[in-house]
Amino acid sequence: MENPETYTEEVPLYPVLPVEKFKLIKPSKLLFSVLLVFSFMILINVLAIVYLANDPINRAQVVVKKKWELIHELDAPLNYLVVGDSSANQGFNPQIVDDTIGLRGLNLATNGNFGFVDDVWLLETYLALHPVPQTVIVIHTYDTPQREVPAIDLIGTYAIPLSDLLNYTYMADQLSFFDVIEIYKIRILPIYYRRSSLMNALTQSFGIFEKPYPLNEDGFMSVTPKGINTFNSEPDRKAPLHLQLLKAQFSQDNLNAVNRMIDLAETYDFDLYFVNGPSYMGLEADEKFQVFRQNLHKIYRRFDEQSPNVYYIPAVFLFPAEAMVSMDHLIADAADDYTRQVMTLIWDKD
Amino acid sequence: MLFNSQQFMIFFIIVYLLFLLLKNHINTRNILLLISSYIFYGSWDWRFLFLIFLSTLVDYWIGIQLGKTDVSDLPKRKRLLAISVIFNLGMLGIFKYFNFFVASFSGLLAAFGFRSDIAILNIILPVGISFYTFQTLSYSIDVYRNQLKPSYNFITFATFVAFFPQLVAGPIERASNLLPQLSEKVRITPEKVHSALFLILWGYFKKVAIADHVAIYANTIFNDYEIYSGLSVFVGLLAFAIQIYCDFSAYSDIARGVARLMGFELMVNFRLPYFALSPSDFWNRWHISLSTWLRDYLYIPLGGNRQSVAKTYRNLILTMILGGLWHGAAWNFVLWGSFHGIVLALFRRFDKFDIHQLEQYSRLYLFFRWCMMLGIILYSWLLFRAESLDQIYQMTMQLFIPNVANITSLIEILIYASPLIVMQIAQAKSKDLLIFTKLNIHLQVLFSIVLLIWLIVYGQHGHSEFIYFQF
Repeated sequence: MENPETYTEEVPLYPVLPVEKFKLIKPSKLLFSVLLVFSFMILINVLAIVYLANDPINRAQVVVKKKWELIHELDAPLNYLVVGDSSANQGFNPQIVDDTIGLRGLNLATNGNFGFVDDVWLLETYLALHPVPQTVIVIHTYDTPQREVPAIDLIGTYAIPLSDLLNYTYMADQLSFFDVIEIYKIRILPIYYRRSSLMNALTQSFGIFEKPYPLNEDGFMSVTPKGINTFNSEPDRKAPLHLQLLKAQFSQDNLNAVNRMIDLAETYDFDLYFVNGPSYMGLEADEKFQVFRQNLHKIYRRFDEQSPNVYYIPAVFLFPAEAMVSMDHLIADAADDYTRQVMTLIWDKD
Repeated sequence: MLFNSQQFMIFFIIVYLLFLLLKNHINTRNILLLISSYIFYGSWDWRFLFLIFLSTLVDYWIGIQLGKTDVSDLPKRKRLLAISVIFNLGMLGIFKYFNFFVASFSGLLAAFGFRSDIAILNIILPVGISFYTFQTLSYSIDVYRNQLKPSYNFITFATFVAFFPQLVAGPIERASNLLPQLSEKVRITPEKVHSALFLILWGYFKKVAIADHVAIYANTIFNDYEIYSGLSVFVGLLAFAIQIYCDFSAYSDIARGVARLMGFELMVNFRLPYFALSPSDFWNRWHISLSTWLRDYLYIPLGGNRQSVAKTYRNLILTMILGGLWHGAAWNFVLWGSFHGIVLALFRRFDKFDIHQLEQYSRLYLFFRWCMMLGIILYSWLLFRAESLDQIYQMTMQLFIPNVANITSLIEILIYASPLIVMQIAQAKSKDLLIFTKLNIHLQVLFSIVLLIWLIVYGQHGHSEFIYFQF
């Protein structure tokens, strides 16, 4: 400790009471140290921006980044595309379709937190770069439709360059000046807004936080049962809580996205299929859930009726607990089975 | 507008820049501070701006009238003071205590078999009312006592009442301290800026990185108290003790740091209270602005310790009961205040410990006293935090059930609080609350970066309110 030149403006009531003692400091020294602290914080923030651009850490964002790379790396036309949420990401295996009926496709499904919104983004990006596929399959689990998809959070954290998103995503039109400010804040201050991911990056380096599963080149994420606790931990106990939160409705963001996809289907003349994601048979056996499911069917049927390019497959794909890692996510073997069922319903219906 | 919010940071940057431009023009500077303070207060609820303005007007007028009244004209001076006291305490009574007294009175009637149809009003408690009413009361009383000249500048006086850094959660400033500063040019020295930046950083760290984390443990235990016993109850008490100290002292630190950046000195509100060696030592360290207010405006006018022994104890207990009631309109606060009053009285009667002569005691004895005091303080927080008398009773009984569950929670709490423990030990050993600023400048830079990263990345950023806003 330096030998301070200090003074105090207080007289303590008794000796043991601490007081404030001021240490004389040169203005230049103070300014320099303050600037040094701020400069270092800015440097850490910049390093965080660079790191996250390369490795988003957050599992959903890692998947997003990979899927967009797949679109740009594609070097041959495709027969079909799959978009949707994580239940499709690890539920639909394009290799099965290729091996069985020789149709080439890409699984661009990402995460339910992005709703149907990023389905549109991925689809539009693909259509801008490649020939139109004959079929686009939209697969979402039962609780994705009701989710709100706040534009600021979505665009702020989405692992794609901001310029790309603001240039040609339809949501960008609806953003106010202050929304854009908020988005830029999220992007340029990851040390605050992406702190969970940065924390995970630290624990990842100690092997505590697991990296996401690797994606195949066709976009399918194969979740093997090895090292995974399959879905056997009291699923029936969790179901009532699940049911309380379910609403058979589409949020406005998701509805807008669906309408946008229907427009694209008509403009580019491809077949647009809405397919249910896989689900746990114990949940589907519940009467309340069945009522919910029927109401959701009605909404999807309305999309079907909106356009001759749009089709809704009302089938429900049920799986036992040992085939799943949650209420709506499959292990790899079961994903192959799910893919076959969907494939049959879409391409083998005649 | 919470201190730990982006809005406040933007607000303060703008105000501070304007302040620096105007700092040498006293009146204009005070107008800026007053408008800023009203904007700050209005951001909570603009409807209560009228209330604080009215309180300012009343006590400003009272001060002037007292200034015009001859010192020998006691009856008139007393009448003027009575207006201030009735008005300020009346405001508190209506907004803070009306429902409490109505409900208590109804309960009392019901106990005797009578029905009461007195309606409970749907009254919102104005933020900071407990603080600024006491602040303006202290002004009126000091002018009445001729200890302070009245202010003849309404802008300066209104700024004293509404000064935004300390408006909503203290420290409860004395007019004799703040008014002269507002009437003079400020002097912003490098060492004051240095210490102010430390206070602000340390305050934010205590709030965001410690208080809001340990609050989760405290809330878990207190909200489900029926199922916890033994060590778990102790963990809940410890968590709350750390939470309330970090939360409240953080606000005071940030308030003092913000004021000091502008060249104003607010009183120190905490001096390592958990190092107290006796109950009176604790009250010389905890919420000092309130404890000294109660001492100067309640305990001493009641007679203090100048009368009989019995009356001294009465004065102690009464003062602490009213101090408890100041915190909130609920019986657990009365119980908390009574507990502290009784403890103070008992120690006054039986304890011969001399805090001025610590060198005559062995370290072992002092350590024992410290443990004892910590135990007393921790238990008092049970009375403070509990939401019912039944909860107090049950948790007290459950505290002594042998049960060592929740060891991991205890360790986690101590980990969250570890920077606090290190800082407090350093402050206690050096008897310097600004010991951090005595470190080698490179170490200060390094620790500041570590604290900043810690509080940004690991802090709880849910914009939780400071606990004392509810008082």
